[in-house]
Amino acid sequence: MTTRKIKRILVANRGEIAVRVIRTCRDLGIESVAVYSDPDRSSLHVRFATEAYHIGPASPQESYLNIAKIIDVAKRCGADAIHPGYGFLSENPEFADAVINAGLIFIGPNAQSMEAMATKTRARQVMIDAQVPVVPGLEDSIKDEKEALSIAKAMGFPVMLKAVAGGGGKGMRKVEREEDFMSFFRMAQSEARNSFGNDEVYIEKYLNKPRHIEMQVLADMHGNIRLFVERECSVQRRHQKLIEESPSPFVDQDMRERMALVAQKACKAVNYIGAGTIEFLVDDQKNFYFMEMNTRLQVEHPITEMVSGLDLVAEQITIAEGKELAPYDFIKDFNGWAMEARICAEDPIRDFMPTPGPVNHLRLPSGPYTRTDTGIYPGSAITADYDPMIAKVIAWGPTRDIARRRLDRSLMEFAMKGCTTNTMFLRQILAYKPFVEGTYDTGIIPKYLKKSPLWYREEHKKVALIAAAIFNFEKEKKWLSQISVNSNDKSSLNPSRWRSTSAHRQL
Amino acid sequence: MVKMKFSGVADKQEHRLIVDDHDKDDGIYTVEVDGQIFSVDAHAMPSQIVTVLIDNKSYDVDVDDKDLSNDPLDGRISVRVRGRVVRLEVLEERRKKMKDAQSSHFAQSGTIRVISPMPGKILRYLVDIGDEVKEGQGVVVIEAMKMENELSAPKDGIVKSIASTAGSAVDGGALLLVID
Repeated sequence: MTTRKIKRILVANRGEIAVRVIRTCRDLGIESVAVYSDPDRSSLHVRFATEAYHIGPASPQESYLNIAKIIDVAKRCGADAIHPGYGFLSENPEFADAVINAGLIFIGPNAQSMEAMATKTRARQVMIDAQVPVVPGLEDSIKDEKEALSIAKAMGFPVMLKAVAGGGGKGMRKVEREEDFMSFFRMAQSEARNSFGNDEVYIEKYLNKPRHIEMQVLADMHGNIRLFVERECSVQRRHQKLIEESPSPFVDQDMRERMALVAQKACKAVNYIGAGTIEFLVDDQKNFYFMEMNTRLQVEHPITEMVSGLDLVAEQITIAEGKELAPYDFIKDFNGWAMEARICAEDPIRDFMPTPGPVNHLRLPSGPYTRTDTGIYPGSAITADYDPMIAKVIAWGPTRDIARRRLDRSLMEFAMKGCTTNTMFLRQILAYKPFVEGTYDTGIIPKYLKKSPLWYREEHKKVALIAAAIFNFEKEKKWLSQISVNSNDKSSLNPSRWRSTSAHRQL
Repeated sequence: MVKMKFSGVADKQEHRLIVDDHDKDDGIYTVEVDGQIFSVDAHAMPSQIVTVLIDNKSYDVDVDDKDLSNDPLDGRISVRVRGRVVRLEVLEERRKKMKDAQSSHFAQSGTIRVISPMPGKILRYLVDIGDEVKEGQGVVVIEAMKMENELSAPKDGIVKSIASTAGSAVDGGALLLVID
């Protein structure tokens, strides 16, 4: 196996992940090349990179998703490799091929293994062939009710009946008992016919209180597959992960080792090379089923870095250079507990409406065992063109409880002015009993929102009232002085700042 | 400067507030909340962040009234205390009286303007001019940050006018439609 030293990496991404990758380049003495769209000219990834190239307007189709433009920049700037980050082109087999055809190294898996995992049904079939457990269910619809019943019995109750053409919960029925099956099956068929004009129904195993647990893998060109302790990502809102932790409070060592074996099998089934993640759905009986494989670095990779002490981007580069991975095993030897929270520019109180806007003030968390990955800085702006996730806050502790408290403390320190974020909501979830106890599942957020408690105590309310009263008092004073003083004295028109000299006083 | 009285509403409960700066611009205030007296030292930092000592207890407070129109009768304000956001409506006593008088006068006759809460793109209108809508019914879908956001009617009524078209970009605060 020949190795190639990578000296210059083009990062085909933006935001926090581009900054994240560039940081590793800096650590390794590798030059970095950023690409940017119109609104990203003064973004942090552009400022951090060795070189930066404009690739088009805000629309991703014309910039961050434009394969031709990115390859063109890579050739012009003399890059020898491209890191795709996550999202955008990271799981696009066409892009991976285009990079290789241009004579460059793609820091990621080859196009064939990407393609095998690209659609869920295809991935499912590949995994079935490799004898990896998938969520039991039929591939196709079924008409004959007796045949349907025998399939349901083989799966074990409860099962879900789902309309093939379904959506929005219509034509969906949970069947708990065998004796109900026939009538529910007919009901689901007629519901499907009435709602969608198509009575095709298929059967899937109903997973009770499912949890989303995933395994990070790294595979090099020498046939080594390195596995990492699992990450739990069950805190989701509309299938978007919000809080992740590693390890999972639900997984014991025996289950961990069994999951690792399956993850290894999945990797081998597609001749995987690079960093990847096998996502499992886990039921309350600790049965786990393959859901999908992500053929890239994940958003939540920092928690794995915290419990392993590795830099996963550096490991990706090692693999891409054709070198062998060191012989570590983080299924057995991992250190402590890590948690990540995703800060998004959205307002939980207004139904998570996006809140793009300027970043007028920013205080990032710091202190013991805290890490913040972000692409924003004071004076930057969060535009409506891209993802609302603006920062990830990660905390480590020797135990789960210490990690959780540190993450909470770190989120408390995070302060931003200019647009609303979900920070308070994240802290509410961290303090929510099922999360504190580690007994949550993917239903945790809907369950929490149903309760929707006001999350402050009398003390906070009193302080808020006092502060708001003084704020209004000063505003009234300003209005009064504007009425009473008609002069060229500009200072009287300045908003009173509670105490005009105060900004000079040292704290 | 004389004392000033305010009304402060938090979770639908009204509180009586009195602020006194003792005629000095030194950042020291006496604030009364429902008869309880606090000695306050408020020290402004840039970006409307204020460090406040209330009876020597230390709080970093972040006052945000950016949603506030220039309307002197709009007292909505959100205050972040130790990472927790409290949304309030605080108005000086006479303004509060003016506002109460106004709202009792206009309460039922409202024409409501549905405005875009953020910059984005109108994906589609879910209603037409002349349609009857119920409170909470979705009326328009806006895309921002790769997400679709459905805005709903704030009250029952008839769609009187539609201010824009599907596909157009709108700024935060732009008029989308009017319900009468």
